[in-house]
Amino acid sequence: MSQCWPEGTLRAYLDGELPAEEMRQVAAHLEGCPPCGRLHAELSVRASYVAGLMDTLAVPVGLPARRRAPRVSGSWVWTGAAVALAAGLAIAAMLIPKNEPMKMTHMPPPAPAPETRIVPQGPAEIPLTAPTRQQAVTVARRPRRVANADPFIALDDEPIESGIVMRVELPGSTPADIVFSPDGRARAVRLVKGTQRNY
Amino acid sequence: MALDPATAGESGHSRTAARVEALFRQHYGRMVSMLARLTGDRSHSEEIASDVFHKLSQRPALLASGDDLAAWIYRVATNAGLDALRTNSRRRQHEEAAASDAVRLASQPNALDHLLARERAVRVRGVLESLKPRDAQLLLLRSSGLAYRELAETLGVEATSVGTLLARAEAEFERRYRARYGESV
Repeated sequence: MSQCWPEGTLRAYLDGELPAEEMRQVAAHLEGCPPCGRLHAELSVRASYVAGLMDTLAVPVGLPARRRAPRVSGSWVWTGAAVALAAGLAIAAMLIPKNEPMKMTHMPPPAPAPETRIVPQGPAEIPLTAPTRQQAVTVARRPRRVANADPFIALDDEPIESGIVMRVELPGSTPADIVFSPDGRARAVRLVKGTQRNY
Repeated sequence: MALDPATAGESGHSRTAARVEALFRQHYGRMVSMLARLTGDRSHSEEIASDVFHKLSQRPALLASGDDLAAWIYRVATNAGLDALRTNSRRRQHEEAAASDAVRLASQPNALDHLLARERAVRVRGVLESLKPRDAQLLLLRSSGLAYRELAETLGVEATSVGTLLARAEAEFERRYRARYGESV
């Protein structure tokens, strides 16, 4: 029987990393040496075990393994889109008179603002003459302070530097105020109590 | 013929810059791949690898020497990757806990496989972190497909020693993995 081979050589034999002549010698030895055969089998099983575990670390090329702190999660994107759509429909409903056909060239005057309305910093008073479409939109979007209103609940952790407030009607005829940032994302929400619905 | 010191300095600077660039071209991609396996974060791995080459560029004496610098840059990169792994150990513990919870909640076969693999990767990184840096580096580079000759170059050892080092590193990895997680794979 030829000489026994050290563990490192048997490990290199497993990977086919020995010179050709040495590969033949080791192969011939393993056939006639049970202890080396057992060591070879043990190294082979262990190498497969470790390789299998190490393969779990493979990261696809060109793809980050972990996304870093996304600004908005997917569910909030869809929620924001749905709320924005509802807000658009609500605004359209406010702008179109219910009992008259819509006329693009002549808008009917809006209902006068109630006396209890509190708008200390409004950009302009509502004109008494017939407003243009743009003015009507401005009035509809103007954020208002409502006495005894619930506080807004932020929908993410980012500070809200600017935005607009839209009143929408959630499913179940529940009115709510939504704060939208300039990029169109819904940033905060509050439910509106029944007494605050019309202001 | 005496060289102008300014010219000689400029020439030396360009030589070291050229050597850094050559090493970068040869090893950057492989280094990022190794670090990505270790940290699980490819973009962070790119930052670490870039930092390694920046450090190398700040070592003119090392660059001026005739030494093979592959072993140096991989050793620095591995240590930096292990440091990053330890720094994020709390996050990893959360990920491990979250992965375990998610596995329990998963209902679809594909989702379950994905979550199991993710949990296993977290475990493997934890065991690698506990190994000697050279053993972890050897296992990572070997799993990346490097041949023994390339492993010897990056470890700064003789090619005939790689089999022995690899066998020992695998035995230690298996022992620690089984000690932590039993027979589960």
